[in-house]
This record gives sequence, C-alpha cells and structure tokens, in this order.
Amino acid sequence: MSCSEADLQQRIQRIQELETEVRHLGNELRLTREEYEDATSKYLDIYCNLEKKIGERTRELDAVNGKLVQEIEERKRTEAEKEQLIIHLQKAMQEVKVLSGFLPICASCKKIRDDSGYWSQIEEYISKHSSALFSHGICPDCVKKLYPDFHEEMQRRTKK
Amino acid sequence: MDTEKNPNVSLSRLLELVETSTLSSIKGTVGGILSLISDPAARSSDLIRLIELDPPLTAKILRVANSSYYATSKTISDIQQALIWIGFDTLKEIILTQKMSELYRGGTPACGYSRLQLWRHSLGVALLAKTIYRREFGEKGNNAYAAGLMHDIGVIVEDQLLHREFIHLVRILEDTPQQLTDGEISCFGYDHGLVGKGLAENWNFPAELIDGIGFHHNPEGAREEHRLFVKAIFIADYLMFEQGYGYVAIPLPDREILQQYVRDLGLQWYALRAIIEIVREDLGKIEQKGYLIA
Ligand SMILES: [Fe+2]
Ligand SMILES: [Fe+2]
Repeated sequence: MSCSEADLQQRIQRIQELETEVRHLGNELRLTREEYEDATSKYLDIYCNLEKKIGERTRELDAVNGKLVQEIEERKRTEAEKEQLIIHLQKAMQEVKVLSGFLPICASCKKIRDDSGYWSQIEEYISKHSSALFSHGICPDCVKKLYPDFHEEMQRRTKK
Repeated sequence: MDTEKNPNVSLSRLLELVETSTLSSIKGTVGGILSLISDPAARSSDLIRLIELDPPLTAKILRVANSSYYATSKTISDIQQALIWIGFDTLKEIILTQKMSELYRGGTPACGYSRLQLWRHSLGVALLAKTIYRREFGEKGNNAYAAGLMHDIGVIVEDQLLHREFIHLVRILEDTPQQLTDGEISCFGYDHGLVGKGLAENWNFPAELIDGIGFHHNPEGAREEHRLFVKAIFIADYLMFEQGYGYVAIPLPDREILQQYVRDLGLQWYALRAIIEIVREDLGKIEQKGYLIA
C-alpha cells in the first residue's frame, strides 16, 4: 500500500469514527429527551395522586408543586446545554467532510470552487472550512519572478 | 468424571431449594421491577408503592442517586426528586441493581472465581448490552440491561446452594480448560443457563428475559422473536470476558460465532469498539465510587 493510500484509509476510518460518534450522540440525545418528557408526565402522575391524597392540605401541596416545577425547569436547562453540544459536533462533522472530499482547484490561479460554484482564493477557502490560519510570506521562486532586482542583490550578498 | 456428579440434587430439586433459601428474598421486588420495566404504561405511583414495601431500599436508592456517578449537581432527597432528575428508567435500573447485588455478597474467592468478580461481570454485560441498544439501535435498552444483569443468575444459585461442588468445578476448570457449561454438565448434569431459565420461569419473569437468561450461551435455542435480543446478550457476555471482566478461568468460545452474531445484528466493529470504550469508562467510574458492592 502506498503512503497516500494508507493516509486515505486512515482518514476514511477517522470519518467513520466521527460519524459513529455523531450518530451515537444523536441517539443518546433523542432518548434523553424522551426520558425527560416521560419524567414530566410522571411528575404530573405524582402530582395528581398527591392531590387526591391530601386534598385539604392545599398550601403544602402548592409548596411541593412549586419545588417540582422548579426542578423541571432546571432539568430543561441542562437538556438545552446538551443539545447545543450535539449541534456543535454535527457542525464540526460537516466541516471535516468538506475538507476531506475532492477539492476542485484551478490549475493556473489555484482558486478553489465551493459547492455553490463560487471560486475563492485558497486561503479564504481553507480559513472558512478549518481552523488553520495563514501567515503570508514569499517563496524564492516568486521573488525571482516578481522582484528580479532584489533577487540579484540577494544572490550577490550570499556569494560574498 | 461420573463420580463427581451430584445425583442428589437434580435441577428440579435445586429449583425447590431456591424457594426456601435467602435467594428468594429478592423475588418480590425484582419481580415487581421487571414487570414495570416491560410495561410501557407503568406509572410512577406503581414504582413508589413498590419501593415503600422495602424500607431500606429508599435510603440505598438515594445514596446511589446522589453519588457522583449520576452527577446531577443537585441533592436528591426524595424519590419524587430522583424521578425527575435521574428519570423513571434509571431509577428502575438502580433498584434492580441494588436488589440483585444482595445475592453476590460474601463468599470466599477460589481459583480465580469470586462473587465480586461475577457481579462485576454481570454489571459489565448489563451496561454493554444496554449501550448497544441505546447507541446503535436508538432504543432505551432497559430489557437488555435487566437481561445482562441477570444472565448468570444460575451461577450464583450454584455457588450459593451447591457450594462445595461448585468450588470443586472451578478447580477442575483451572486444571482442564473447557467451557463452563461443559464442566457444569459433567458435574451437575445441567448448566447455569438451565438453572437461570428455571428460576426465571418460576418467578414469572417476562418471556424475553427468560430466553436471555436461558440461552445466552446458545442463542439459536431461543424463541425466534427473541433470538436477536439473546444474540446481543451473547455478544456483550463474550466481549466483557475478552475485556478482562470475566469471573472464572475458561477459554473464550469460537470467535467466528461472535463475528456471525455481530453481522446478524448489523453492527460494525468500529461502532462496537466505541461502545466498549464508553462502558469501560462507566465501569471504571462505578468501581472508583465504590458503587460496585452495596
Ligand atoms: Fe453465562
Ligand atoms: Fe456471563
């Protein structure tokens, strides 16, 4: 197996792992949400029973009720946080996919075409789809082409 | 090995002995919980009534619910609160786990076997089977948890009621490697699957659970409608042994059978590996918090 093939295999494996993770977390989230809804209905069940049992002790009942409603609100907040996490992961997953597929690149100016057919500079594209940052410099070949005088000067200096 | 057989205790006699032993003390609560688990319309008031019948249970439940394992960042001081914070399903699991753990107390370790190891194995299989159902099939997996937790109940029956013969068997297994079920059949004339199945039937466990316990070493023997479920228990049992969560020195069965069942359930190995990691982490946490033995 050539080096790049091994590399490709590794990437495919990593994507499978990430996809599994997202799918697993999605299932967990859905089940947790269902369980939460179930807990809410179970609470109503307790509440109704409580009401039957101690119909005359209304004030106490209100206190218990208030406490439980507060609990449910708190639980709701925790669920919302979990959902945010999954959305975040799903987004990350998509980005991984964008960067791991084939990139149509212009053979001459090296611009990259995105899904909507728009051609953008390679730095713009990569920055948008990854966390890589660009720091601009200039390579020796381009110095020769763009600044011939400067290049000659540099050559002379290094010879000395 | 004929001389080592125990002709005095037939399977039906052993099952009779169960009814008069301390093992039967868990029957009421466990039976009640199992019917709540398999009944989708079960009400929380049924659960609360069940808990009220077993007073020491409430304190134990609250202790577990407040352990950092459930990490609710919240002090849970009554069952209603527990119901909202950790949920009906988890609460049922905690109760089942608490009651079952009572059977695994005591005993002295011998030749690589101990009740603690068997309990650790049972918890591992329960968590793995449940996590496969949750993460892969998107189902709650409460039945898988129950079946995983109870699948080797036949072993604890043998250990408790045929103690001398059982320890003798454990020694034989160490000297002559073979499957546990084969060793049991030559020593007792039946294996722990049959013992567990008999107990599950006598105690009116749900049908799926009876098959899960009875056929976890030969899923093909289970009723058609439960076969996939039993295969999931087989997979969880095999993998926990492989991961070092076994309880007795035996060689692992043919891996090709495992591969076949993994295919039958439509599982991928990379997904299973991810699930095993989660379960190992969970078990590590449980052991660390000392929640393993109640
Ligand atoms: Fe077993
Ligand atoms: Fe087992």
